[in-house]
Amino acid sequence: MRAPRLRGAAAALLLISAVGGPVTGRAEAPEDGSLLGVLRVELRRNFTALKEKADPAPYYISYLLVEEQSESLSASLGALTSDSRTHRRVLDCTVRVGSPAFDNYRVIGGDRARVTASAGLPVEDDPLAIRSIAWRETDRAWRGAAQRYIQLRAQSQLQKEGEELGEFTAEEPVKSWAAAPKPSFAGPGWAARLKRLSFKMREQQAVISSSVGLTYRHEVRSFLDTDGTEVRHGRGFARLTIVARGKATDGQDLLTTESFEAEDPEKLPDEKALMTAVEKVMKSLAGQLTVQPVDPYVGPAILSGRAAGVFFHEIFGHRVEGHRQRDEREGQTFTNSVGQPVLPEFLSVVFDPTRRSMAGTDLLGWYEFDDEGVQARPVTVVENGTLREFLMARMPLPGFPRSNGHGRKQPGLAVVPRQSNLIVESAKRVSERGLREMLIAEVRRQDKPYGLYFEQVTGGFTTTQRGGLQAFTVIPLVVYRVFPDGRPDELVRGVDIVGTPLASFSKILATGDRDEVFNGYCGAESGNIPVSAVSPAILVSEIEVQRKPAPTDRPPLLRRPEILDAGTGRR
Amino acid sequence: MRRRDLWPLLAALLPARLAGQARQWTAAEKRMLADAQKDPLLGAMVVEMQRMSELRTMPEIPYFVEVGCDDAQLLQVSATLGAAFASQSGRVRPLRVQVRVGSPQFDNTNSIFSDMYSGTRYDSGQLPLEGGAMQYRHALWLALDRAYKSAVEGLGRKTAALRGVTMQDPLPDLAPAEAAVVVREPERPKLDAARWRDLVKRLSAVYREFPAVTGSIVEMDLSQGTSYYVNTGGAVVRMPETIAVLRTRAGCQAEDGMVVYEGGQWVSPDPARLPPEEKLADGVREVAKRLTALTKAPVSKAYVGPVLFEPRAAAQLAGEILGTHLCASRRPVAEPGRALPLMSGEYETRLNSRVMPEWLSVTDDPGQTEWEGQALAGHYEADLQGVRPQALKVVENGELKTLLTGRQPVRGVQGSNGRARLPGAFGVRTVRISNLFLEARESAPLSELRARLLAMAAQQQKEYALVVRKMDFPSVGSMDDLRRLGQRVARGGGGRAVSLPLGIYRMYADGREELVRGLRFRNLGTRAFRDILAASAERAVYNYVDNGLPLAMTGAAPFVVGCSVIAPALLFEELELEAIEEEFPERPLVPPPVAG
Repeated sequence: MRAPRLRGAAAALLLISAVGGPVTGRAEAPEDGSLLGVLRVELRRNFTALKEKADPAPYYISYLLVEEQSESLSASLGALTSDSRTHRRVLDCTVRVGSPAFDNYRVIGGDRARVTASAGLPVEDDPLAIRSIAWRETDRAWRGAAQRYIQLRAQSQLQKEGEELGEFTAEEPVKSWAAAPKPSFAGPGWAARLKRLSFKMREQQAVISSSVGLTYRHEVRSFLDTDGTEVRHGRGFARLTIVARGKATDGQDLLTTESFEAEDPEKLPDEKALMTAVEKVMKSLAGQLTVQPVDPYVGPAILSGRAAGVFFHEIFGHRVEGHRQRDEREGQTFTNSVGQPVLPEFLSVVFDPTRRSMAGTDLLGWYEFDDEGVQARPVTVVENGTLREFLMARMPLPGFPRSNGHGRKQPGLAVVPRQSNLIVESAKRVSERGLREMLIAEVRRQDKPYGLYFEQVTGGFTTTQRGGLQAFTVIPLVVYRVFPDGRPDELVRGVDIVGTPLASFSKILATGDRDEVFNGYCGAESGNIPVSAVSPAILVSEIEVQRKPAPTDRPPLLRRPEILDAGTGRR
Repeated sequence: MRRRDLWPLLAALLPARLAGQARQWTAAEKRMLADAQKDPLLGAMVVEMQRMSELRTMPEIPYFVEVGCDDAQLLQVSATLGAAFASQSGRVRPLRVQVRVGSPQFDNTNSIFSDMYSGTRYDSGQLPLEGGAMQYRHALWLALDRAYKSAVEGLGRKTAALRGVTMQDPLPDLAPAEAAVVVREPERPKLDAARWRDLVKRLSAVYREFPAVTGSIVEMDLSQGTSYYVNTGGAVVRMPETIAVLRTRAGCQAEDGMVVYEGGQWVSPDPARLPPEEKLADGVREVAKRLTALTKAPVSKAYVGPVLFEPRAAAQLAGEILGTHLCASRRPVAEPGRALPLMSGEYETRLNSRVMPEWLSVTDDPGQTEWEGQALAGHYEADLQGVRPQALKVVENGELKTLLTGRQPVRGVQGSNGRARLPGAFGVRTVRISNLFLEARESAPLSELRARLLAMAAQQQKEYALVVRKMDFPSVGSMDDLRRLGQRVARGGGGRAVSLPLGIYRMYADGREELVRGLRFRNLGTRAFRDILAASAERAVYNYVDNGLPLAMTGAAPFVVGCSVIAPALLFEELELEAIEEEFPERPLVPPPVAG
């Protein structure tokens, strides 16, 4: 995938999502007749038989079972527009043939292995039904693995000699069976609440379409492999999303969103707070309708904590994912920078999947074990500006022979190292007011007419490969101009932040003193995974904005049906 | 919208827009229109449709607008070996709106650009699941706005593509049709998920008795609801629409590694009228038995000679071949020189010529609801364009009299005969059969046909003749199976893919039957129907769902329509079957798990 992408509330509407619920206790190993036990029996049976009969023989097999229960409710203008529940189980089987020194996951010429077999499983624990599918998928995964291994063997004879790093790290087997937390589906009051909240939107004529939606997903992941690791962990996540869309007269598409996350629906804000958020979304959209699009600009700016989180996720986070350091197609911005300064000295960056909430918000990027059964742990990637390590799955790197629990994936795809909770720590924290004063001082120093304040962003994307520009984009939703002469801030629209990573880091001058959380979904080679980015606001001496792509089609040609104006005083 | 507001609108709208073909409403139609006035959904459709006339100041004026919505409760349940997979259920209300600009002679439809829209989309393609005039009208307003903008864009692109091209005797784009008024009570969906899940589980457990079958599934798709439709020609339709499809698929590898599969489906316009559970279980058992037998069956050599299709297989064959070629279709307009991988129907140039033996006739009759006590899946009262279909004698005494049509004009057929049944592509609805009756004026008992088959084989000094008991139509093959079929067709010199015979038997002179595998038909098309030698007195009904895809590939498209074929056994003088020659994958190294 060329452009890893972080998406926030708006884009995630199409998805269902998850954040941590408490994991309680450690149980005994599940019996052979239980679901996990049935899979264990089948895993061993296949491994033993294949080791004996297969050529090339597997040295490692793993099963990942993801059981997911979710519900999704959505309303628009006071009526339910969708109402669905799903319950599914997906079994992924990974087979490695050859040896850890050289197996079917070797990447030659940037060609990455995708040999994971994946199939739906019954949601009932019938041993024969489950074993039949596990057997079939193991056979399929082995066939793919064997074919690729034979090909790689032949190809490797033509490759130049390099450092023999091996393909698969040795890890201590882990056993942990958490009693899966019970799903906590939204109570019956939610449909009525969503309808009331969404009905409010009809009062704002600028809103062409709108929705208020609630998704809840409960997930239990069970992982077992032939090294003896067996883990089960689970969590729940609720997300409420408010979306309003409109169109400026020049054709620019307008979008405002607000979202709230919690471990279960009952912990979401109350209806009054949600109604305030709906009104804010409506007002923000109407405000954008009347403002002029801003011209491309370079100058000083403040990125709110949420905007800064996305900024770090894109320009920094994707470049410290371990597998990119071994892939010659990648830009490898930081591959040779371990022990060297890569960020201003007052900044540290920690990826901590063990943190469940920060700044009063539950984090999306929390998990107990990664998708290779490795225990999650905090990883200080940058300490006082100096690069210390990378995000690691079980693919070794020079000087890093172990995983640090960041091998993650969406069911059906092969694991690569991915981000978890990115946390920006700062030793140069200034109050909000102080940061604003520094911005104005910087505007004056550079003799610019104004600075920019990016309050809300929806996501971003970046290119990490050599074939493309080493650039990133962050997509703001709400942007203000801040003037040095004391005029009130002015809302503007129609710009995206663009830049290149190394140039951007050196321009960070200071940070705010309040952490903000951006929860979203990150898409890359191993699919969409939930992540968080936590950061204080940052002041940058120079940032570049470019015009958004602007459609030129007209808003709806006919007036909206007059019946929507009934009771809103807008006849 | 209050009730009394609606009538003047309907009254004003309907007769006025009948474009010169004003007719008197019958008393029944008047009663139905009075019913329609009370329906908030139909009301919102009419009001928003009528608002489109405010666009008359635009350079392109809409000349025809239609709005349809299927309000359906869906249920999907599946199971393997007695264990249920996740079930899915939900209410959907997909909208189908179309705006035509230009004129009936030349409009925005039937071009590869017809469904394209480059602007921002604000509509969701669905109506809200509940609510009233406000929510419905808001959704319809946005849907119609996009439909109008796509129409203008589509007409522009189509016109540009044809600039500088001389069209020989062009056909118009919209045929006139009498607008149907069909207003029935809406269906109140009541699907018992637990009941159907349990049934599917029990049926899937039948495969536990057959260890040679390594992969199997039983699935049920239920859709129950009401279809709504209005157009500016005056059509008003509200009719219940329910379909239940129970199907199974099973596969494994034969001893030589050949991948073999089997399957079946049962379709009913009413879930309560599906066959009783014992019958269904027998059906699943038959599938499992035949598949088990297939793994040991001999691989057959190529064969050219007489073939007997037993009634069900004959109905499947007729559904596949006649069901495709009797349905009119036109190639969409594209830039000159652009290759479109779309084949034309084989009957389009054969009107008024002999296409079958003179003792054979074919009637398509959507008016029938049952045949010999069995419910027919192809019954309906109005098509997707608000046209009431009539029974049609398509083939009379062997001669092709007409084609089945929607409102897209085709050469040689006047107007629509109300067979626009699937949403289709390029702004054109796809035509499908309803209840297709193959009627033989001369017939003989099936036993006589068998004797005749053997006699022919003997005459040609063949050791055996072939009998087909089951075809893979609609295909239950997986994507892999269909990819293999495509490759075989390409290797065999192109042509149209025909479904595989799943149950094909050698019949020997002593009456012995032997199941064989590894055969596929070559060049089996409409021409074969000209050389039918005989039909049986026994007839079978085959109910199935079609989705407009090649081989009506099961489960691959969201919109399905029920069809029925009633056919006798058919004896063909000479058909050609070739042996499947390809490498087979090795069987798994690890033996399958066993129960216990």
